[in-house]
Parts: sequence; C-alpha cells; structure tokens
Amino acid sequence: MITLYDYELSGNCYKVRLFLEILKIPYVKHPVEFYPGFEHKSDALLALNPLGQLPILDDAGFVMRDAQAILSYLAQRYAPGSHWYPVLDARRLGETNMWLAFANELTATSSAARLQQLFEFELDADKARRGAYRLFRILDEHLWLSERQPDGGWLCTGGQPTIADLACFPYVMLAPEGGISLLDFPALRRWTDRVKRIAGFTVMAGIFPASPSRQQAPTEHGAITM
Amino acid sequence: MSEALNSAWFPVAGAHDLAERHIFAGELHNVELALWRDDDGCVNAWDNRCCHRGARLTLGANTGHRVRCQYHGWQYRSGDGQCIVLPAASQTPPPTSVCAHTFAAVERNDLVWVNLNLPAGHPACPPQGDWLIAEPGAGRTQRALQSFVLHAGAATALAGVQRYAAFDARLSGDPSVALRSSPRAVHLSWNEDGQALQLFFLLQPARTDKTLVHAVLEAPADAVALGPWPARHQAAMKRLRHRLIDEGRVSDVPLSTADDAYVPPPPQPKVRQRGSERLLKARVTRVTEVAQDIRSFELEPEDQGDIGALADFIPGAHIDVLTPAGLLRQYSIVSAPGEINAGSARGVRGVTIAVKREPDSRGGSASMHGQIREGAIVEVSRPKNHFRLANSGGALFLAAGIGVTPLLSMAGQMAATGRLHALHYFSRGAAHVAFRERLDALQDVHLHLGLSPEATLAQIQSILATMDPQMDIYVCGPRPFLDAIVGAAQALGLGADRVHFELFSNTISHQNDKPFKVRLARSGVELNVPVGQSLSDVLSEHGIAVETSCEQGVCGTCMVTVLEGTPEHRDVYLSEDEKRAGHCMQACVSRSASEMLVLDL
Repeated sequence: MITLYDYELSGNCYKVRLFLEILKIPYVKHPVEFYPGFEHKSDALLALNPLGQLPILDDAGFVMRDAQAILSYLAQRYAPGSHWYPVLDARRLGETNMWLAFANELTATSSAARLQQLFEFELDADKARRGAYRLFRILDEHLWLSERQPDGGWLCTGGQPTIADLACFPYVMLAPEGGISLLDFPALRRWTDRVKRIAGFTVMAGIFPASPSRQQAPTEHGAITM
Repeated sequence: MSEALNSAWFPVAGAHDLAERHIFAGELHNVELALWRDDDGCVNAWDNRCCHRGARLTLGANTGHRVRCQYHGWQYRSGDGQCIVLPAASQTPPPTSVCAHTFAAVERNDLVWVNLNLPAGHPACPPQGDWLIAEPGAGRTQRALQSFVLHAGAATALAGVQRYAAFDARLSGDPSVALRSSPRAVHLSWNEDGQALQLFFLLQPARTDKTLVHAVLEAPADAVALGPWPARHQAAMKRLRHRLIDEGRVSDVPLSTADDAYVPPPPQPKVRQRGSERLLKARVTRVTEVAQDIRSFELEPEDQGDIGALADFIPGAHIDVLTPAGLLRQYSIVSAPGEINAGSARGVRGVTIAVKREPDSRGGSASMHGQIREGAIVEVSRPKNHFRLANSGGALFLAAGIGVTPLLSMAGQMAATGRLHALHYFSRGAAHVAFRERLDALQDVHLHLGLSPEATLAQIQSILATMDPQMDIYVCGPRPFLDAIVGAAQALGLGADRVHFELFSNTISHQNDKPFKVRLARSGVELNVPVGQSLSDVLSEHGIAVETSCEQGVCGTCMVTVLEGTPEHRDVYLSEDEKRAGHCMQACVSRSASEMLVLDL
C-alpha cells in the first residue's frame, strides 16, 4: 500500500495526488501539519526526508522524496510503457526531464511568493514574483509554438501529456495566490485548461475544474437528437 | 451614434487565441476583458466581472453557450450576456437586468476587435485608416502571429516596433523593405523568394504602462507560406524585446497589476429599444402538419453572427416571433436544446415551434399558417426562459391541446437525464395529437382523448391522487384546465408551490375599468389613462417606449416598476407574491386601484 505524507495546500503534494488519481492507484494520505506546526521538520519526518520537505512517498517500505522523482517512480512502476514517462524514446525522455527540472524552478519562485503571501515566510516575494514571471513567459512562448504543431499542445512532443505537464501545472495555477497574474500568458492559460481535462483530473483548494471539452460533452444540457 | 464611439475599435487577441470552451483574459484601456467563443464560433467580449459579487469571469468555465461564474455558479449566455440560471433560485428566471456587461466584438484580419463604447450586437465598422490594415487582397490571406506584451506605454512600444526589421535575420539586410507608420500601427512590405509579403503590427493599449503588439502576416493564399513564420516572428520579437529591455525603454516585468490599474468599463449609450428591434433573422427550414390545425416550424438563425443564438435555452422556453400579420407572438419551443433541425442544410442548431391555427385568431396564428413556407425568413427573439423545471425529484406534466409544446421539451430533458416523469396529454381526439414521434421517445405517456369537462376533472383528480409524491406538477393549457388542476391539487393538500404553469392566453374583463393617473418619476410628467386605453398605449402615445409583446399580460415583456400607489393586476405573468408586493406591473393590461401610480420611468 502507498502512503503519501501530504499537506493539503502544497502544490508539490497535489501533483502527486493528481497523478495517483489519474492512474487510479489507491493510497493512504498521512496528513502533515506544514503550517503552523512545521511538522515536516519534526524528528519523525526528518527521519524519512532529511531535507525536511513534502511530499514523501512510502510504497510498501520504499521511501522517496522530491515530487518530480516520485512522479517518475510512479509512472515507471505503475504505468510502464505509457506516454506519462517515455523512457524508451531518448529525445522525449530528455524533454520530459528538462521540464521536470523546470518544475523545481517554479517551486523556487512561484511557490516561494505564495508561501510568503499565505504564511508570511521570510522570503523576498518581489524577487520571487519577477523570477516566476520570466519562467511563465518561457513556458508561454514554448506552448504557443507547441500549439501550432500537429501533435502539440503539451510541454513535450508526442501529442500526449507527460508527468512534466503535471509537475509544472500546480504552481502555474496557484501563482495568483502569490500575487502573480497569468494575464500576460494566454498560451499557458489554454494549456491549464487542457491539463484540467485529463481523465481523472482532481482539484485542490484554489484550483477549479474546467468545463468538459466538446468531445466529452457535445451539448451541455443533455440534448437528444430527433 | 457618434463617429468617435464607433471608431474606438481595438484588436485584443488573435482569432486562434479564443480556443474552444476557453475564456481568454484580455485588457484594454485598463478594463479587464473576458473573451470567449461559443460552440458555434460566435465571439463574446465582456467586462471580466460577474455582476453578482464581482468575481473574475476568467476564473469560471465556458460550457459551450454559457459562461458559468466560479463563485456562485451564475450562468450568462452567449450573445446578449443575459444571466439565465441562478443556481440558488433555479426555478425562477433571473430578472432581465441581470446581464453581463457586453462589448461589441468582431473578427477581422484574423484578429478579434472590441469596442468598449458599444454593447454586443452593435454593427461593427471596419478598422479605421490609422490601423493601416484592410481586408486581404484577392488571392491573399492574413494570419495573426503571436501577440507580445511590452511593459511600456504605446508611444514607446510603437518606436520599438518600427525597428522590427533589424531583428529578423532576413529582413535586416533587405533594402526592399518599405515601412509605413501611424500612431497605433506599423506596416512592413517587401518581396521575399518572389512573393510579396506584408506584416502589420497593431498596438493594443492594455494599460497605460503595458502595450500588446499584435502581428498579422499577409501573404499569397496559395503559398502554404505560414510554415516558418510562427517561430520566425517569435524569435524576432524576443530579440527586439530583449534589446528594448537592455536599453531601459521597456520593463522586463509588469510595472503595475490589473488590480491596481482596475477601472470599470465606460458607460455605454442606453437605447431603450422596442422588442422588434432586438429580433434576429431565422430561416424556416421545414414546415410540418403535425396534427389537425397544428403546424410545426423548424427555425435556425440565418446570419453568421447569430449562428448560435437558438442553440441554448432552458426546456420550457419560448421565443417571440414577428408574424407576417405584424404581431409579436410567443411560441413555446418543442425541441431540446442543441437539436439540429431535420430540415437544416447547414447543420446549424435551431428550434422547433408549433402553432395552432386559432379560429378567433387576431392575425398571428392565421398568418403563420397562411403565409410561412419552407425557406421563409422570419424575425424571432432569443429564447426567453420563463417557464422551467424546478429542482425536484420528478415531474408530472399535464398538457391540454397545444399546451403540450413546452412540456414536450421539458419531458425530453427529464428523459435525457434519467429523471422520474410522466406526461398526461388531454386532447379533443386522435387527429389533434401532435408530435407522436417525440411522445414515443418518452417513457410514461398517457393520452386522454375526447373527454367532457366533467370527465377531464375526474381524470385529473385521479391522476393527482395517485401521483408519485416526489413529483412537482407542470401544467400548460387553457385557463379552465389550469383552474381544475389547481383546485384538485388544493383539495388533495398539495402546496401551491408544487404546481408550475404557463398560460398561453388571458381573459380580461374591462367592465370595471376606471380612469387613473400616472406620474413618471424621472421626468415628473403626469398622464391620464382613460377607460378604454391601456397604460402602455398612453405611455407610447407620449413617446415613452415601453416594450410590449403579447398585449394580454402573459409574457412579462412590458413590466414597469411601481414606486408609489397600488396596481390592480390583471396579468397572469406575476406570481401571487409579486402581485401582493406591488413593486411592478404589466403595463399592457394592469391598471390602478389607487388614483395615482408613480412609475420608475
């Protein structure tokens, strides 16, 4: 059985919950009081992750830290050979890992601004916001070109989402809570709608669902054709 | 309309930016915009605020023909922005004043253009001269490229864009590049690989310190030309932006936030229009004799700009139709939302209405039967969602004659969503039963043919006595039929709130008419309403246009607000509670119990 050491308001915990839901993998949540209790810095949790960060995944005694690493583990363990983590295609594997690393950059900026705003952590929020803005611009320009490819629309080529999309998604959506508007990033906003329409998508506080796509619901009110 | 208002059109997005079931966030002159396309491709440009609690509509969802606010689920429909669902009061139609603040929008040059000074539906004029762009020439095509944000005022952005050629690898060394410039646009034209190419740059003043640069490429249509252009333009603009930032002309990051810069949209001219001026053209795609004296008419919007106008409604809705006799008449929609008419050549979603030829017709139904043929164009309103299903566990539909029309649409909805329902259809005889194939699609249909009034009453009593207690009752038919049902329900102890009804006609006695006075609060004008004339007639004689439609107190179109005095209600539109409160009245039929009424006009 999988146990996720989880904090409800954490975008990094959320991306793991999201992927577990998408893959329909049963798991148990172990809630950790990140704030105000700082339980992730307790001896018990430092024993699981000496970096004192969440999430932590325990899969039948195999313990892992780092949200991006957990996503790659889950993909290869529970959905091998799927589009989520294309390990057999060197280029797409490279792309996926490149954008997984980008997700950590978002944690350092967008998430930091939000931590300052929500929990008054001692961080330079303006600097974090400027950093996040530049990263979002890179994402937006990348996605604008991707949308124009026949198999585009996602961070990596291949026409289907990868764990990199899930890894980058939370701190894009939660950016407004850190005082960063997405107004200047139209392609990025369209991509968030696509992520929200992945089968099995689940929400967290501050992240709302999208309406069903036209393929999922051709008419919105149950029309019958005569 | 002044020229200044009509000329204030600005590009706000590329046409491709408005993706299916997406709400695009825009900004023009510090006004935040929610831009979205409905499932039929029609573009909406609204103030980005829900008129309930001011939540951003861009946080909400585009559900196909409506935008649903994320906060309390208010749903605004495409086209006129009317709110048609308030989830907290789902069985009552929202007042017509609950409406998104709409702006006129049009697609041209592969861009979306918006005019903040005009409401949706206003005819657009082409971009004025200083945008430098026109419709593409014969055999040429225009494609919008990526729009870029520059954190600087429009003048700085303009000076920057004029240097564009220097940042494109091929244009920088090309002496044939010709540049034209205006205060809000830049135009480059040149020849490349034997093709005449043009680039138009159009500046959108988003905020005083933020300018969007739209770019449109014009090229020969046969050249699959666009190929490298998305990436090529992006690379050039990134280099240009980087240089402008290095030179200190443009900021790398925002200088203000949309919250700080927020301004409400400018006021728009309020034109009080008569009902007929808001009608849209619909084509009659099929006319069918569905029963004795009953014809069905399949309608679909004719103009491309209205193409989705009949696709979305709440079952039970009606439309106003301007009949060939020149009368505005209400006809319930029989079909389900989103149906494509069997007779449609274009696959457009439309509606089916049914019209019974009335022997004592005032001209409406007789002219529909006599003059409307397949292929005709009639003027109709957008759907009016007054009669609707309440949130109950089930529905018992009781129809008499032509009253079956709204109930068929409602029963279809119940069937499609798998909810408990039964339909009892009272008719003079088998030849008068309409829409057999729609009836067959329902589960629990009972025909009651040729019953006497006494037998009808007995049948109603028996139906109500044995109905499923989870059901609400929906009635449509003539007044005596409704009265019999209301009486029977009362006798069985069923609450009045469980009987929902719609009447198609109203019988009004003028025996006790008395003259009365009205004072119009806004102008102070006092008018006399004599015996034999209606309030709405007196008002329109004095140039105060009150929109009217059925002229018999059925449809609710001519509602006016009462500030003082006691109206004597003669309509069947207002609920008993609303009548008792006395804050509004139907000007076409209702009169006054007090000597004077003060109206909010």
